[in-house]
Amino acid sequence: MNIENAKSQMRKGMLEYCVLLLLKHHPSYASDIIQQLKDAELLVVEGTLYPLLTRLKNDGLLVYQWQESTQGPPRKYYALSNEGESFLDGLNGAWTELSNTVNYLKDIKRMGGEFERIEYNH
Amino acid sequence: MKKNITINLCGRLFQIDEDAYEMLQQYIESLRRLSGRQEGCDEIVDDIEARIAELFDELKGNGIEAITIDHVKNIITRIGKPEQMAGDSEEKEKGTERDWSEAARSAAEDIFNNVRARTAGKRLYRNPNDKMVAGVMSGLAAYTNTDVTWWRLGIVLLTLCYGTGLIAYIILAIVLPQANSPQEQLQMQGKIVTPQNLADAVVDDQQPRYPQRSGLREIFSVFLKIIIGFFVVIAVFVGAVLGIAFLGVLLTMIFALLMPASTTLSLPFTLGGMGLTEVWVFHPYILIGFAVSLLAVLFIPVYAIIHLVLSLTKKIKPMSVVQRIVWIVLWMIALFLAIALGSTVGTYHDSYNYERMAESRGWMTDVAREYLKELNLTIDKRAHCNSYFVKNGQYFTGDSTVSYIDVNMWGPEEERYFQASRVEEYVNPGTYRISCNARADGGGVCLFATAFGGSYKVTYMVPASGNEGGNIWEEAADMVKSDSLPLAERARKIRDANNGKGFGWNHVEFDTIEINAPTTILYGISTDPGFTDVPCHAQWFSAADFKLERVDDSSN
Repeated sequence: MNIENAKSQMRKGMLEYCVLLLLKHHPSYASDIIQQLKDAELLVVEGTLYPLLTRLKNDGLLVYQWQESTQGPPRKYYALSNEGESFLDGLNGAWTELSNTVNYLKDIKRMGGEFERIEYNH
Repeated sequence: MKKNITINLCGRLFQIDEDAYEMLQQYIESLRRLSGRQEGCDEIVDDIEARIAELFDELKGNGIEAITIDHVKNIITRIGKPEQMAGDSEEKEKGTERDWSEAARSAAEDIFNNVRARTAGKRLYRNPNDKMVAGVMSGLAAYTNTDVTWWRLGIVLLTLCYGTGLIAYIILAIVLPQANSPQEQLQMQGKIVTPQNLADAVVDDQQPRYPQRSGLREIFSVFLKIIIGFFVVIAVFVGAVLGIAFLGVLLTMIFALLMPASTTLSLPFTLGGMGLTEVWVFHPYILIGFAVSLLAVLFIPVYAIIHLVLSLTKKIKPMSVVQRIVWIVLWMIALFLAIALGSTVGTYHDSYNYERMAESRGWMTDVAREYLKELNLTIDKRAHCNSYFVKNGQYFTGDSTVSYIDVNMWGPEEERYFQASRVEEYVNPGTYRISCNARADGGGVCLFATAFGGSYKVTYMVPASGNEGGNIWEEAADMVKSDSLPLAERARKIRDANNGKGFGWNHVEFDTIEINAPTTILYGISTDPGFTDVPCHAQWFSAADFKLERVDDSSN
């Protein structure tokens, strides 16, 4: 398995959570989200985002509003719904656990069938 | 230089090159199809369209007036291939917990999808870019990734085997769709439909192709074109004939149904004229079914040809594969029905014809019936008479195609009953002669004439010369001797035809019929004692040329 593929799988898994995080503080429209995700190197092709947004909206986690734009066509501004907020809280909890676990796993060494914490001296 | 068009994307106008537009359209179409299985597909594609509009706006902002194919390629690369997008939701689902059976089912589905993807990747099309006739062989070559020349050679050789190849080709040409869009052309070549490939195909399509040709291939191509031209001419001819036949059958059916079946007009295209009166009365559905299926058999090819011509001139869309198959199946059903019902109608026609003849106490073939109808003769007979009582040949005129009545009677003497008679209505007063040519055996047969109302009755026994001599032949032999008479040639023929024997033919006449008041005369040849007054029981006789003529000067 090549590293790029593995990375892309990880990114894909994260994408939904990251989109929700981005929308938590202020509503954005698709191109904004794309720009931010690209900056964070979470998105390779833009097209991936649209099915995701539609699915989240259909699941009731997102709501959107049309807004006229000074340049270009009217835009769909997405924001979190109440349900989305609580969903995100759930994901936050899961993420904390996950990252703790990952950190923990990174810091142990497998010995004799048991896990033992290794203290590093940096 | 490129043609440029203006498009409306999400309510905004953009100037875009035609090729770029084609490519964009292909891309959006493929998105729509590939995301079709997802929920909210239209919404996703609409959003992506909006995004494209936005990116176009950006280009406009940067001072680009016309969007080119390169811009579109860039945008497509940026937004991504349809598969990349479709992958998103599927992978998410894999992450959820599943039990074993579900996992197994999903694995099976994966395998199925894999297999389908491999075969669906390549599709059999007709190739419009490299074709001799309809591009079938070149499509097969693309499908199998082989050289088209071998396929063409193969089909020509197969055609030599009783036209198998030609039939196979026609079927394939009808069934296979043509790869018109760049997307279909990619599928034909087994390339995956990606924005890049699409772009290549679109660009490729714009450029004229100059396929490399060796001398042999050139000769082969000219040879093939001559053959094809020949078949096209035949096809046009067949089409024209079918069209005319179709109109003919249609008109005939309209006439046949509009004219009452019992009409006295015996036009050939009325039901009565075709001898179908009884079939129409007793089995109308079979006749209607036959008519409809016959029309369908003719109509479907005519329709197909018209459709083909119109679609070639771009007036209408060509038929889809399903349409073609449906028409072919319908045509086959119609053909089967037409044959089955046609033979049923034929059987009924014959049996009713037989019944009709039996009713009028005569049984005869159509040829005999025609002959008697022409001569206006009516037949009355008993069962012990030959069924085939009209014959050709061996006749004293020397013309072997001339017909005459020829009867064999094998019943007991008192049952040998046969009469061929003709009615002459409104006969004016005067003297008349009745004549005929006849021969008979010793039992005898009579030429008779009788006036209605019984004002008089005359009979004349035909001399029984048996099968030799006869006064006609003797007369002819004399005439040939003198050789100067105008009838000598005919006489020579008579003599030659009768091979020196004469076959017993006699000319019989009597000219003593005096009519005093207008009346109706019945005359003919008969063995019926009621008419002849003489016991006649010939076992066989022949007769022809019945005539009733006035012999006195009619002007007096």
